[in-house]
Amino acid sequence: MPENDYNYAVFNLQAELGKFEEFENLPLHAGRRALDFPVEDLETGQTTQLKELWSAGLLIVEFGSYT
Amino acid sequence: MAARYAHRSVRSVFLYTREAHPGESFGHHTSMEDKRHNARAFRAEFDVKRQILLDDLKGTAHRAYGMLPNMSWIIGPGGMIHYKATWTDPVDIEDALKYALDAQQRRAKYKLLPYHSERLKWRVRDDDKFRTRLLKNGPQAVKDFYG
Repeated sequence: MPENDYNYAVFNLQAELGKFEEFENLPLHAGRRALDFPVEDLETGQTTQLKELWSAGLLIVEFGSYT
Repeated sequence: MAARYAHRSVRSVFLYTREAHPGESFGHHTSMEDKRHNARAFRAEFDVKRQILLDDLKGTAHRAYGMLPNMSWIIGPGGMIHYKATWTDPVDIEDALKYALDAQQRRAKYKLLPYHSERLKWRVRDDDKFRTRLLKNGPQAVKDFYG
């Protein structure tokens, strides 16, 4: 998906509702291994790996935005 | 919530994605600086104490985890997924967290086998609150959602 499509300027309700159906077919399920990605810490600007955060215990990850 | 369970090595983070309902006041991201700017505004308005992490501009992590606007996951040591939900409900998350912590303890004592369970959950729909939120983003956000 191109960067501009991902960061849409106009919300499309039907397209986004479809994501909830697609979620059911996602290969990531309870019991499977989570995927690791680099992420930037807002406070420090440092890049860290998600796996470093779950290495020591249970990690709750909430995805979201201001809007 | 995570603070109440920190002594049991629980950590909670907010992974900042694209804007779900961009508007004139808080628009879509065209750069990481846009993303940082909106994430700082989010942190300030809601006094967020959790660590806020930014996905890349392409949404690589967000897309891999299903690209929903406000989903939550619980991941255990070693990377095993314990919980995923299409929406974020603190009560449900705490319920799942308690179960996962309890299972960790029981696994140390007993031979346990995993199985899958699925539940339909319900959340309150508050259109007035949602519309007010959209209006803060800008009139366009209201128009895009309600037409």
